[in-house]
Amino acid sequence: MARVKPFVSYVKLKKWGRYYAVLTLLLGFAAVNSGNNLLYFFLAALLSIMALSGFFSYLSLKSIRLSIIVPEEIYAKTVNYLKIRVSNRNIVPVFLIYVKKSDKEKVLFDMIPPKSYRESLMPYYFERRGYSNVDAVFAGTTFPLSFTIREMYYPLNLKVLVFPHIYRIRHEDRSLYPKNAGWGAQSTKEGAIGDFMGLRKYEKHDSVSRIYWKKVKNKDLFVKRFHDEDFKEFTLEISSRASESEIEKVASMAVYYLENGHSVGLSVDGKEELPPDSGMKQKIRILEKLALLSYED
Amino acid sequence: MKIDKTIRALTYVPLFIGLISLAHSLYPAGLIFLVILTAATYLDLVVGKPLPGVLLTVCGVLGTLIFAIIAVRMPFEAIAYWIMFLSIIKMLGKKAMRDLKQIIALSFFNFLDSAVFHYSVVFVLYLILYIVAASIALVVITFLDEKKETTLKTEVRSTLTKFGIRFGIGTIIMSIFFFVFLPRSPYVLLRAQVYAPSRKEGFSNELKMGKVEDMNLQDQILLRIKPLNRIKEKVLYVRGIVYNKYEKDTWLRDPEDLPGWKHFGEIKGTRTLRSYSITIEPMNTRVLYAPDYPERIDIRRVAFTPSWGKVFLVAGRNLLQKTQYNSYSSASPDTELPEELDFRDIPEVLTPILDSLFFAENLKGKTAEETANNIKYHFLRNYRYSIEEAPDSNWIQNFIVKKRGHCEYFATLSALLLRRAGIPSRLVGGFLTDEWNRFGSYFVIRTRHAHTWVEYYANGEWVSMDPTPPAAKKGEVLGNLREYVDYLAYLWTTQVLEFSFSNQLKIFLNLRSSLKKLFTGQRILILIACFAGLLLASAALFFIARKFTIKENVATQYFRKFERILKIKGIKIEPGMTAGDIEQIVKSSAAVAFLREYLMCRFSGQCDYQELKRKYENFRKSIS
Repeated sequence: MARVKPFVSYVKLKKWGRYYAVLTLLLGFAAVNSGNNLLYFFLAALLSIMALSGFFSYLSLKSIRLSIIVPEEIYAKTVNYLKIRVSNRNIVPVFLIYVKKSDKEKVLFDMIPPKSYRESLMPYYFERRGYSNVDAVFAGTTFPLSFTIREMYYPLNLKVLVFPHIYRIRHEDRSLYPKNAGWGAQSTKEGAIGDFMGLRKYEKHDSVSRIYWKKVKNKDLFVKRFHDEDFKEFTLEISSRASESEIEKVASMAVYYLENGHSVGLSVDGKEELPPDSGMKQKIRILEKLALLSYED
Repeated sequence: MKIDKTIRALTYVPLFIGLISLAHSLYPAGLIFLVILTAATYLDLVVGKPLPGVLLTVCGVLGTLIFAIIAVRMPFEAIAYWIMFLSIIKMLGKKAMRDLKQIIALSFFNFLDSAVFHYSVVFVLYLILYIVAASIALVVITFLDEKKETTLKTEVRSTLTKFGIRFGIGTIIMSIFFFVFLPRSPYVLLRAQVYAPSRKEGFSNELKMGKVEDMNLQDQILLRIKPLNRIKEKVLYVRGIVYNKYEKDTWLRDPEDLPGWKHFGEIKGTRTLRSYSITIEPMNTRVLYAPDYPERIDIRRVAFTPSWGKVFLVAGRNLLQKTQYNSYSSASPDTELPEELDFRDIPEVLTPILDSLFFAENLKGKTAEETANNIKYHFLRNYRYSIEEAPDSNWIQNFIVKKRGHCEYFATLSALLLRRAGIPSRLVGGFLTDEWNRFGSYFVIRTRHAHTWVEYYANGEWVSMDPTPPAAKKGEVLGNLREYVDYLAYLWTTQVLEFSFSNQLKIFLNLRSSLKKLFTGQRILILIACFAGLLLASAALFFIARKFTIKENVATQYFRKFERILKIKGIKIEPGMTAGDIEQIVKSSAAVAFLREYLMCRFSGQCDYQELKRKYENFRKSIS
């Protein structure tokens, strides 16, 4: 979680704000030219509204604190979601606070009660893999009168590792890259069907249907062990000069197989970088390697 | 998507205030628009059937053309009526978020327009209400617009409303600051467009018998005169205009001005000038009024001419607007007797009756003063004041027979008698007041204070003579309150409407001198100590107030009501009982539903207060 402090704030006029400014100028001109004090009073009211509106929006932005939680896995060319927590330290509620990177990557908090916080997910898009900087976000508000937008620039300087883009792989792509795609030849993973591998004691997590009733001895229960026929263990081969689309393909395949419980390794230019393994950690390791493959900062 | 009725109603409030303010200043025509707007609002909020856009566009274009034609003769009124008309058209149509914004913009123009027409102190009330209402509406619309929604939860609406009220009050307070310090110029390119339709009338160059009587029957305030010196007179003669010619029951000022006429003569007696600050309400008048005997007048933005008879006449068109000026008066009567004018002329037809009066009452004296005194005391001893005598062509005879009348009769007959005795005399039209406002320390001059008196020329000066006996005094209902309200109106005129560059200068100079005094010697230390003390006291008060103001959750408030109802029915909820326990005791599906909603509200952080309210109402109905 990164807590960030605002850097500078600035104000932009919205469409109605421009009308308001023009009207104020015209009214000022009319008041000065006519000497009508009621017009002066109106002018004073318009200026007060402008000043107070600015003051309240500034106060709203000053009384909030931003915390940003970056997800563990960030993928290029995909909408990722950063968790944004906005805390209101003030004793009055703040309204319509938005946090954004761009107009499309934006999250709105409608009301944050005093001394509390609200959380939401902000879409965030990374163009390329490798290390990437989340430079800054803007917290802003149009409250109270929608005439102006006041924004504060929150410098983040968060360095995140962006994994290659992952897409749904096609069937024909699956056989392209595995180097030793033996169909479970070197596998020790236990399945429910396949070649018989012997017996073992029944354990609590085993399904009752797997109990080998013929071998019941002195109340000890046994189950049969089989090779998992669908299980694959293989190493994905990639060149260090592989194109971006090839990297994305390998990454997508690695993710696909690992998420289906297979064991996947990675070899770069014929050298085995990561021996085959399964699980989430292996997925992260492979994606990290692929994210930094021929990466230039 | 249709916007929630409550939100629409919130937006209409500032429009109504703006239109009421404008309708007030354009009464009675403005009232018609107000009635139509009310009907349109009813159609929108209750019936809920907006008119087709095409029809409204056609109406809008036609109406605009009609008002453009009216604008040729009455531009300011036409603009005001046009804005009211557009507001009604807008109210009749469909309402998207954009339309609500436009309605608020229209409400602003309605209110702004009323500032041109309005000069009454009631405007302050409208202004405060308008700023608060517009703030709430704008805040709510901003919120909905940003969220792209059309309805608000009760809790959010109430929080936003509270914020809007605070914002509005803050705006009003800050506006006062801006109003005082906004840069003013003593020179303006255009004169203020001041249009205050007024039925009040002052004196003109012609005074027909009966005019003052009419004025005496009314009770509108025309002037407020504040003595700037410490001397306070008990009564004040306010000089308006002087008439020289009497014909056909009418006094005339003929000619109005004498080109090349020498300004006032030497000031005799005390040379000390008494100064007065005079505020004149909008009235159709030719004259700048000032207490007797006026020597000089200081007025901004109004051209005037000092004329014969110590009279100050407005140059060009009659004065219509609310104005403030200073006058400087002396105790020296006018000494100039313009040769071009005849102050002895009387209609021949009146000679016999005047002669018979002289003979019968033995009014002739040896000197001009003696004759004047004889006439004055004859009236004061033998006649009484009455306002119920309608003037006719034979008024002198009736007056002599009935021996009662009002100032016009006394003054006119006195002036004519003096003329008959060969003493130059003239009639002065103005006001006589003894109404003193204790709060503002000023004299109030009402229409009923209109008065006429006589001046005769003797020993080189025009001597004032008032032959009218005093009128019986009437008691006033709510005198103190009336006085205070009038004082507020006076403050409004002097401190707001007539606030000027010189007032600003005074503020800055006073501020400078006060600061100089403050930052000398040990005063600064005392000031710092006071400030620190004040700060500590405020902090202590704040914390105490916070400690004692425990805000109860809305859901809890409903639960308390629920508890009370059960108590009446003999079911007591003991502390420590769980929701399940209560459910078992109550055994009512409505109560169970309410309890579930309450628990949801109280502990899940996601609450639909409307649903909670609905379930509470269901429970209440089921149990009763």
